[in-house]
Amino acid sequence: MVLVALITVLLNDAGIISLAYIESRLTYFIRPVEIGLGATVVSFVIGFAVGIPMGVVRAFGPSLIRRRGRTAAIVMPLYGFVSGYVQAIRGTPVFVQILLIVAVVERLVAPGTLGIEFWGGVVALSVNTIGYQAEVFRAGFQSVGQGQVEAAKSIGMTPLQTFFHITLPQGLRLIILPLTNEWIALFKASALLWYVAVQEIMWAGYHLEYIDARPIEAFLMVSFWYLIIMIPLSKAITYIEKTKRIPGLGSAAEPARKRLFGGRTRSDAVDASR
Amino acid sequence: MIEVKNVHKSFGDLHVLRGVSLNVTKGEVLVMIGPSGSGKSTLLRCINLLVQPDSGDVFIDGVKVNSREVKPEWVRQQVGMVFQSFNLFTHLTALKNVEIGLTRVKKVNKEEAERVARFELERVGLADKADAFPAQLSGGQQQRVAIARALSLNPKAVLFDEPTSALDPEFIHEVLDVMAKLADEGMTMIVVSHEMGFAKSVADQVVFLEGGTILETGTPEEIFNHPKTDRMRSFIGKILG
Amino acid sequence: MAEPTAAASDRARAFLKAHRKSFRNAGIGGIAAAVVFLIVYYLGLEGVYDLSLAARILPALFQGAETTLGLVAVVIPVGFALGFLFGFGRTSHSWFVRSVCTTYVEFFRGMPPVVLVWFAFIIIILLITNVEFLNVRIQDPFAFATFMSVLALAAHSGSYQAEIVRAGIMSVPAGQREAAEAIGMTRGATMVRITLPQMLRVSLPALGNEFASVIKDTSILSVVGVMDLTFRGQNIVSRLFTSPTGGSLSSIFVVWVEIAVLYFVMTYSVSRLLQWLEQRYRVPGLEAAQL
Repeated sequence: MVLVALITVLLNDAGIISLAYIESRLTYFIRPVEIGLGATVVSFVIGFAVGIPMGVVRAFGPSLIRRRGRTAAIVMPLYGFVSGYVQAIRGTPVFVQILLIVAVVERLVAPGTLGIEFWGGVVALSVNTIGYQAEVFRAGFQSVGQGQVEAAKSIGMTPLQTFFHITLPQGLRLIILPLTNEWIALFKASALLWYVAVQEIMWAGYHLEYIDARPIEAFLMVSFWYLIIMIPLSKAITYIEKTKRIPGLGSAAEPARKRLFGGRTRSDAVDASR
Repeated sequence: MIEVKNVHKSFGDLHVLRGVSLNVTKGEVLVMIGPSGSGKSTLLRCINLLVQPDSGDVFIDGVKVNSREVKPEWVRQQVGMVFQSFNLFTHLTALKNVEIGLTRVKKVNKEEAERVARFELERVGLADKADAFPAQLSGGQQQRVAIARALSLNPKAVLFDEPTSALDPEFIHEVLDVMAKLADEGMTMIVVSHEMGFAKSVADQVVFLEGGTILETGTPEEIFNHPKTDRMRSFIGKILG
Repeated sequence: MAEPTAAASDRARAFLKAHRKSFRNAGIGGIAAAVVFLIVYYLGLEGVYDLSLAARILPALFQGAETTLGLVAVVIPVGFALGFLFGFGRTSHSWFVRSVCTTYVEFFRGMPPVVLVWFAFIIIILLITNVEFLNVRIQDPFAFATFMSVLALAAHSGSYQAEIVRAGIMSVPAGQREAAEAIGMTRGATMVRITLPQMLRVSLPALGNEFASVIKDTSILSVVGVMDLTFRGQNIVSRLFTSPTGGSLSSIFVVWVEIAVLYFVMTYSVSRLLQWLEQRYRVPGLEAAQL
């Protein structure tokens, strides 16, 4: 459906744009695509690894704190830190985060190192996605039906056991959708790395336009690459949404209170339809 | 065997349990009846410590369980629970649901756990559904698996929180049958239910709870045929029609 | 005369009691923020970073923030208009309308906003300079191109809003429409009086979210020269490099952090406002009914 639209545009403008030109420059994008995807994937994985524990802290922090005592004393500053981090990240533009962090990284690490901007970009993207993924995990853990947790307790599981055998497996199923959305958002944010000289897809388009002064073709090529990755993913998402309604899996609609300002994700639109 | 002494519990401003006392001897079946919101579920949860009483004591086999030295996990191995909404673990098969208490909590080895699990499933009449997921089972079947799960840890008593209230009428019977069979085998049971037929035929003791206090207690004979208070009378009248 | 005041103070007491929890949370939040602020200020005084710099750039940053808000004021309504149009279109009975709308949504949602903004700018410039017709008509190509970039961002936001609108419309139970038609309402009246109000209520949180996102996305417009908050930041940082004293890591850090704080204040205010709105227009029991 959408591909049709794309193709028609292409054919339409054959007079204004040069298909031959596009062909000649096709290979130009291969390395940038690798770089762009690479940055996204690495950052995402880091976000996943750090996001889960942070999600745990955010999800279970309040109840641990309410119980006072020694655990509360340890948990409270941790919870404060994690919450502050998440809110700061979600409340500020990615672009600003990238500019700040890349500037810092470039100066802290031996300046002039080849490719430092790539790693600076990865750090920036990681920092960003950690914040958003922490929220995803928090929501996931909290959405696991309370009845399940009660039942686990009633057969004698300790809170830790309950988490590992019940909350975690069920939570993981719930977060697939929002996590995919986050990946998409991250990939789109990677386009911003162009500005700090990371040679990914947008950069390639920009550079190409600079050399050859053919913005329309450049735009089409850049669009092609982004869309070719995005659209199948979003189709996959709608498919997952429709089929993966696991009955009995707690789906308490997230109270609006918790839904603070946040990244733009499709799950927000989906949540509205629940 | 299970003794509840003068338990109070409040949730915020709501004083749910106002000094409730109960006594259940071994092998006895106690049925708790009363209007919604009277604190029946809360009382049940005070026994297996899903809820901590504000004051008062709970004794199981002479051991005071609501004290700091006693681990809630230990208590729950002594007393099993069956929930109104079944609460089966949706990501596990029926067999695994029953096994998991044994393998994870009691640290029994896999073969032994499976043997016991299959035995319990057989006991509730669902041996053939061992590999089914909860979503594939009917309400009555799910609840019976839940009962098997509660029994897997070989508890001294089982608590039932309105086990049939969420079931379609056609399935209530099969669950009550299992419960009656359990009672016959000598299991100590505390059942919160609206099923008066069950109370009449299976209960040894009936307790009427309203507004957080026990209004009346006695044998089914006494309660249903000779209610002492007016409130009890009107309640019975409305239920039995 | 004693009666009204007694009633008033009762109501006040009830209000305080009901909102006890949120007052307490606000109190804790306020204290925490004050503590953090004091720590940061103290560090500044101690010379850990250049406090005077932070103070000096503030006016410029405020101007940038003004621009940002101005941009937001354009992007959101346009985005909403587009979003409503295409979101509604996606629920159409006509396959053609649906496809067109879906194409719009898929395209603008799948593209990174940077790409849209920058290429919109550069392509428009190209078109204006090369196409006679436009060349004559348009006075200031750069201003026009900038405007188109803003529209590109609006289109991007619009695609998200379209999805929100669509989800909102679909979440209004079909029974509502049937009931309205059963009592004789026309299609149009049903839409306006029944579906729309409910849809807006449902979509409010998501739309508020989008509002905050737009505030953040306007930072992208800085790459085409719009003098928003982020642009000012870039400006200041580059000037720091050329000045004899500036260019150190900590001063760059200070600049960007200050900017981040300003953005945070903006997005946080929006989300707070949103929460308040939701509370105010809450229909009791609606959430339970929808489950």
